[in-house]
Amino acid sequence: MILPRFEFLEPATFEEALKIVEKNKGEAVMMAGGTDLLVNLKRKVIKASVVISLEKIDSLKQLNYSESAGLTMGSMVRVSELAETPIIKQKFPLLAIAASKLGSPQIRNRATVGGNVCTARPAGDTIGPLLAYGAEVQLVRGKESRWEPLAKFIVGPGKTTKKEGEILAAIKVKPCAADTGYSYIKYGIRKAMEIAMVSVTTNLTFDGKKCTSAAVVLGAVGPVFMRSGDAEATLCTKEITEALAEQAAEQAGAFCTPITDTRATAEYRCDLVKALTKRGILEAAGKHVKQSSSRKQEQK
Amino acid sequence: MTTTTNKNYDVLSTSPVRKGVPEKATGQAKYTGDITLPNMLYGAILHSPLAHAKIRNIDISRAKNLPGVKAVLTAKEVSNLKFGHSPARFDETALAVEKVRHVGDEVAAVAAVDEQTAREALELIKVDYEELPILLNPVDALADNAILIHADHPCNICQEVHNEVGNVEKAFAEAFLIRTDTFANKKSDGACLEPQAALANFDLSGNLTLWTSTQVSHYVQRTVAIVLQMPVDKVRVIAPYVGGGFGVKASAGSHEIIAAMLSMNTHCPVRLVLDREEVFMHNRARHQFYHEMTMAVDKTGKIIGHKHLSVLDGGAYSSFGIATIYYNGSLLHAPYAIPNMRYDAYRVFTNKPASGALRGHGGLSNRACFEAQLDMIANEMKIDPVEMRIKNSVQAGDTTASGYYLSSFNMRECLKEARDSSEWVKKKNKLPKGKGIGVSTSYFVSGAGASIYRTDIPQSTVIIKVADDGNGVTVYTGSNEIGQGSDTVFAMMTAEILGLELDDVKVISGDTGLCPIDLGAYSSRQTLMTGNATKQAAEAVRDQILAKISQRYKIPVSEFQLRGGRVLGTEKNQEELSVIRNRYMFEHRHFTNLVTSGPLTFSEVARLIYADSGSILGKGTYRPPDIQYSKEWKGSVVGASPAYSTQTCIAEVTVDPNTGDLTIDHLTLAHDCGFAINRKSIEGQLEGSMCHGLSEALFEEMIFDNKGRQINPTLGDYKIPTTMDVPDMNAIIIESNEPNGPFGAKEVGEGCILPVVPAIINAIRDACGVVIMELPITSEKILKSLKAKEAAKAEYYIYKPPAAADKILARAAELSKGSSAR
Amino acid sequence: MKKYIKLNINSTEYELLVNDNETLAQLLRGPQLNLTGTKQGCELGDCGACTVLMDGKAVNSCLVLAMQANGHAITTIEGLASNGKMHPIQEAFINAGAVQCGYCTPGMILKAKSLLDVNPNPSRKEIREAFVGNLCRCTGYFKIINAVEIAAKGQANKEAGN
Ligand SMILES: Cc1cc2nc3c(=O)[nH]c(=O)nc-3n(C[C@H](O)[C@H](O)[C@H](O)COP(=O)(O)OP(=O)(O)OC[C@H]3O[C@@H](n4cnc5c(N)ncnc54)[C@H](O)[C@@H]3O)c2cc1C
Ligand code: FES
Ligand code: FES
Repeated sequence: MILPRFEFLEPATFEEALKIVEKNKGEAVMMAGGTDLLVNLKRKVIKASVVISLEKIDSLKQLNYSESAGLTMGSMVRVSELAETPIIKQKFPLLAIAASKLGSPQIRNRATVGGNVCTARPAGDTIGPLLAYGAEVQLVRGKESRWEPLAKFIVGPGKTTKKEGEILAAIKVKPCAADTGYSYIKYGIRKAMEIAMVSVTTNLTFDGKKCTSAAVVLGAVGPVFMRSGDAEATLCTKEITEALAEQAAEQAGAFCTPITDTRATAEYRCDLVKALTKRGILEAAGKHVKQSSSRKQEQK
Repeated sequence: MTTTTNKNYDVLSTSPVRKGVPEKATGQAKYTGDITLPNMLYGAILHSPLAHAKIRNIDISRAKNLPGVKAVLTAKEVSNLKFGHSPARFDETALAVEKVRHVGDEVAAVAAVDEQTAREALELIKVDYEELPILLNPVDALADNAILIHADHPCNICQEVHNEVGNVEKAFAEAFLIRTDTFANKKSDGACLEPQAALANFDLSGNLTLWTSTQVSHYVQRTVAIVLQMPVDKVRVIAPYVGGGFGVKASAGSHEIIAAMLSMNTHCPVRLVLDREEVFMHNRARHQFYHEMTMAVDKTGKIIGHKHLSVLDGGAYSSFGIATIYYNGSLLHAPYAIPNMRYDAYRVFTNKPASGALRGHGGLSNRACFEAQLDMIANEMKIDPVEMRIKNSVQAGDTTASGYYLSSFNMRECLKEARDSSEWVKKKNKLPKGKGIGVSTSYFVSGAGASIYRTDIPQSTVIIKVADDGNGVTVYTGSNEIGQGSDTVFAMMTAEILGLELDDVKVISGDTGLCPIDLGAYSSRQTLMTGNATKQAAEAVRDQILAKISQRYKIPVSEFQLRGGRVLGTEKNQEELSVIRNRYMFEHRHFTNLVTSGPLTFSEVARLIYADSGSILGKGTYRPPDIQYSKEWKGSVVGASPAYSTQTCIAEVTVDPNTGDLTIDHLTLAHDCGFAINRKSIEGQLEGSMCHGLSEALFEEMIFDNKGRQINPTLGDYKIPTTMDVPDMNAIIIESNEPNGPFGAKEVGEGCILPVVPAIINAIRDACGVVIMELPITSEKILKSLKAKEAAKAEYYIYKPPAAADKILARAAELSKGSSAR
Repeated sequence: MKKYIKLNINSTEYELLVNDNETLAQLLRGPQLNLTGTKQGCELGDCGACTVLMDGKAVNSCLVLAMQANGHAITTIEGLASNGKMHPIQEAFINAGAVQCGYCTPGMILKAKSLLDVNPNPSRKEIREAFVGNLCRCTGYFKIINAVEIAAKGQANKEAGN
């Protein structure tokens, strides 16, 4: 499969990129890791006469963490880095786990978190965790820069509020509560190399045995990722039991609005949401128990 | 885990490094798409975007004018002679004449200075189509007033078969238990990792050389010669390294002929490599089958009658389909003794890529239906599934109802070994909820008894030439090494007979310009057929060498033996030995490392003969013996083979009751391959088959939209297993001594895929009480069935093929009413 | 448009003229380099046959532009053997029977190298996880996983011996 002809530009700095983007308005596409873009160009799903690569821009590859500000990462941080960086594994484990399930190692070595977010696929692996963590994204065009919650940024399958010529520069995640339990479940036809048929991201914060806040984010069951408010409310301020998980899972199942495609019917996706949400909640609660007991051990 | 025969061989029955493998592991191996010639052009094909349409006009002017384009061809410019697979059904042309019959049908072709230009030129070709009604399934195609995809095939029936042996109705009347089930699989693809590719070059004398990724050099040579109206021997087909075949590369494809046409037209070499989407468009893999089977057993559980109604969705052309429809009937005649059988089937044209042959040709889907049904009957009768199969099994010496004589057949050993090594007895009915174990057996041919075109030539001819200086031999065979390891098998046989090291035997295969005719790699024929010819050729070489030395020594041939690179026995007369050795040493006085003691070497004696009479050549041919088949069962010649393999698979699975998620925990496969020549290769075939079977059971399905366009033409969307989907597995080699096979060897590689799908189906039933009778087995189908089972409070639930399948089978039943069986 | 790029391929420095829309796989396999050991099975990132190492990391060369290899070090299957001696991973693949048609093999071997470089002693599960992007239609993966295990052990033994 041949790529169509295009001009390839590789700005070395962010400022230069902004200028080039501005200059090639209407004809250019931006390329991060290219794992989505090159496939789409080859398959003629999209056309472009100019491809602007962001790969040379070091400022977009930064990854910073502080206890007070949380995590800020440039859009060009690779998915493999998300999966392997110790601080992410430790503080934002959902992100690391989900990243480790995206595509293959070869894909992850190229794919970027910014690219994953910009594709705005209802199944994008890093998106569920980023939503669960309440991430915000920074978009820059010319001299304008704006921050927007990721939840608002993605508006439909493949659709974002990104304006023509805007570059996704950074993603910010606030520091996480100390006492959490988490689970990321990705379900597909094969056991790997899958675009999720359903994904469930669960992040629970605890005070002692009680769950104080909950994020239950459902992927691939609606035009955009969905947070089941009812299910989250059910879990809050309570101790997690199997019955409670079941109740929340039912709510999540009732709430999602999947479509039928060749891989699964809407009905089955709802069943999956129920089963996987329950599993996710219990897994998250289980992790919390395990962690707090090991913390106690440490304290002794 | 293996059983072994205790013959004493030096080379056979070992696990040597295969020929060509170091080259493959270092990147030196050249596949067709890796070969470049000076001045080479790049070919590309324009495919029809429509499933069924008349071509009103093709405007190639803009494409022709694009700089860098050297040729643009349509049916107007080239030979429209028909070709295909079965000579009685040549129904394809290289480029579409007047109409297109499926999305992907070849409409025009371009040669240009680079691939980019070639592909861009395609976009400049303007085709004016007149759309025709599209027939995407057999019901529509079989409708009384349906438009005809091929004018000469009423009702779009490509082929129908009506057969009976014994008396099925009578058997049904006497039966203790009868059940009827339906089953369907999905149209699948070969998914060879190497896409098809061809490189054609006409020289100045009008000779064509065609490098191509094929399983059948000879058939390609002949087909290209027919279409291009050339003498066969002016076409040289070379199969370089081939990245898998599995059946889809087992007949000539349009791309091969088109590459030749482009080269003919441009007087330049032209290379044409299909991309993955084009591979799917070409397809030629497993048919979509619909089955309705009725099985009758007596009160002891013995099968006494079987009725099989089947429809094959054939796609747009006949391809292998005539063979497929017959195999679909005859491959149920073993491994069980069934005295009364009836088979009615239709292969129907539809506007999809043509289906052809795939690993276990014509035996996978019917086997899955049969074995799932047999298991359900065993279950109803409370007979252990392994026992049920042993009870009904045939064995060596038996003749099937279709008249096939089983000269070796260790089915019971396969069953027992698989049962024991998987700890069946400990597990069956004793596994925790959600876990299950299932078994299936099957059998397959070891080479099609009949050639594809009518001919009296031997199926295989092999020539072995001793190197002129005596250092080893070269085996010349037109057979095809496609990754299955056949070159190594022939080299091992030759080395064994001539007492040489494997490295002393070179193999040149798949090159019609250098090698005598061999029909190629299909129907699991090469080890047995080419192997027999190789053995004969090697023996001819051996006999010449021994005869010479016996004459020289004036002692009988039986006193000598070729072994360890020596002619043993020559040490018996030191005087004679010295004469020969001294002469050799004098001739080779500038060489180092000459042998100075012990019996004469192979080289010394071979050189002696060369000095006397020139090259030592050994020739072997193979034609199948008079193979038995029943004249009563029409078409049973398709399925008649010099030998039959048999195999047992045991699958262990886990089903998640909440999601329907299926995990294959372990697979065991025991296969009777006759005598095991290359043990590691056999294991490799068994392991590959388990994975391939798992893949068809769980994943594979070409999905089309209502315009006949495939919506999953990528290896991301058309799924084959990853490392995470395939469990550890146990490949068990069961040996037997096949009298028709070289050294007692027979088939491995195709038959062993057949029991995998039903073993998985049966394991799922064991795990959770649902029987999935439509492939692929998705977690959604399992969950749906679990729910239905629960709602009905039943012990079992059968997930049937959709209503459309019933309609298709009902239409077939209606059509076949009154057709008398032959 | 064509531009010159500089890159290191199998420890040799090259300056090559490449097209904007040329992939790394096309460049490697093309007339300038003829490194056809790198295969292409899908050209869309699905099969892993085109796997090469870029600065030591496994990537799908069908989804990397040649321009993007500018300034980087690429290892292809042709670059694994040294001084005519095969790499232990190649030997393990050959001896374990992990090669059938061989079309997936170069990608598999390079993936194995990238795995063993960071995890010299992987479990079978870790090997499975690492190879999800490398499809093989022939072997059923069993002997491929064995080969990686054998190569790992071989390397460990060698280190212990040295
Ligand atoms: C074989 C294969 C398997 C895959 N498996 C998965 C999977 O399991 N899960 C999953 O979620 N995805 C998967 N993908 C899709 C893809 O790899 C991911 O979405 C990846 O994260 C995209 O990142 P990228 O950097 O490669 O994006 P690119 O392809 O470079 O870009 C994607 C899109 O985003 C735009 N874009 C990228 N970065 C910016 C930016 N900074 N500012 C503005 N616009 C930008 C581009 O213009 C383009 O339209 C798979 C792809 C392949 C080929
Ligand atoms: S060719 Fe690159 S992944 Fe298949
Ligand atoms: S050996 Fe053929 S694809 Fe792996």
